[in-house]
Amino acid sequence: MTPSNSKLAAKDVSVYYNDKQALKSVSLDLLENAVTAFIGPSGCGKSTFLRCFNRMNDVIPSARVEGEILLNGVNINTPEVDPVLLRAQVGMVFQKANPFPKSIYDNIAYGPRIHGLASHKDDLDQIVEDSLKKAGLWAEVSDRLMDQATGLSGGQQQRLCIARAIAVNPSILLMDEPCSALDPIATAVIEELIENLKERYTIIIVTHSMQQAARVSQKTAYFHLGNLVEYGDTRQIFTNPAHEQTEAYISGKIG
Amino acid sequence: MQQHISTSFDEDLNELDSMVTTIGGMAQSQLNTVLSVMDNLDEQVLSTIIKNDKQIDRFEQKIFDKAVEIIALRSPHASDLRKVMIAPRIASSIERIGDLARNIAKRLLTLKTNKKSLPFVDEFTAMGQDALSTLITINDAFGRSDVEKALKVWENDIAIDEAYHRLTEIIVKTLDQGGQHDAETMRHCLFIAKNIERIGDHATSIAEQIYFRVHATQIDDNRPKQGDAEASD
Repeated sequence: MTPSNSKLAAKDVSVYYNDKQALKSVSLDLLENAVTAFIGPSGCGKSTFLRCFNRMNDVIPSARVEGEILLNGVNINTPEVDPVLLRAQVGMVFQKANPFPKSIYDNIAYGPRIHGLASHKDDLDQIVEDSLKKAGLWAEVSDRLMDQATGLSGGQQQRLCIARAIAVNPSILLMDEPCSALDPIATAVIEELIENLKERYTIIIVTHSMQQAARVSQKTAYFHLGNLVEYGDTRQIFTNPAHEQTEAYISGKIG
Repeated sequence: MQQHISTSFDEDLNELDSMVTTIGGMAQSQLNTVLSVMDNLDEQVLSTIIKNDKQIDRFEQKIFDKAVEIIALRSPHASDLRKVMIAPRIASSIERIGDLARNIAKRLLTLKTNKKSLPFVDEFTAMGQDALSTLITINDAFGRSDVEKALKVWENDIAIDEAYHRLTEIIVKTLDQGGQHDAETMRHCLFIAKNIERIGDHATSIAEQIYFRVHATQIDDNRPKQGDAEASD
């Protein structure tokens, strides 16, 4: 996987839940090998938009997606694109760590087995080790790979989920409030991990923490009522945003 | 003006602003007082000015502590952050203005102790009143976040610079002619003139902070400067 393999863009993307429009014609070019933060109040459409990038909205019967999501120039919103293969390429980490009720090893090996990424046990061992190393968890679990994953701490479980996403060779990582259930130390560990991961992956993170968006991202997109209000360098958004709405949100102001 | 959802955050920011206005008023009062005794060199008043300067120093520290507290507890962003960051910088400029007023008082007290008077009182008073009026204007511009007013102070600094150069020329000429005043008195005169001129520089620096607070960028500095064509002092 190379940086040129993770070109991601949205063109006029709208999402409807039944008749209600949750996302209004959003266009955006994601910066490769960088972290982009989606911020905005609850119900602004940021998570809905995030789920467009790996077609997670497909699993919601009332949801309808219009417009194009271009991954390396190919629109993923077409029946020809297999969502299972797509989700290997575009990994996702959720708000609450969701390890399978299996061993640490099997959690990581699950995806590579399904996708046939390892022909021998040695290859699979190597994938498990590499993935856990990339997720910064190897040192903590290498001597107990067969232990139940659910016995890990919250922060470790979240890193396990990141390792699980990495194991199938994605180029994009989507993170939906990955630290909202974690204490400040576990959060700092994940944020440091995100910083390291961006060298290999293009990352989009949805967060309600302004501090986290400011700390981890290079680009920030602010959403309000389904509209993309402002998209720019994080440095600029948090020091001198162009829109009053953005400033009011990041500063905790009301009109 | 939009308000924060957290009213205590607004209160903190307002308190910080109000502290800056207060320290500005303290320096204003010190300068005003020292100008008022240039003719009679009232020892008691001059001693009080010197003593009062410590209050300004302590208040500057309080403003710094308040800004640190707000950053630590509120994590301000954008215009809030600029508001918090410029407060200690402005306070620092004002503290320096306080020092300059105190330095003038010290020199006037020395003159008085040596049974001398201040030569060129009218010139010094006029130049000092210009500096005082600049200080009053800049404090007002801060209170109102009035960039236009701040820019006027910034542009007018050259007038104080010119007054300084005119006055120093007179002092040096008088010194050259000899006899009228002793060299020690003339040395004090040169320093007092320089101190007043520096007050204008600090007011200019405050104007730049106000501009930054409102526009989030620095003023594009292409003003003609008095010292451009001559050796810097």
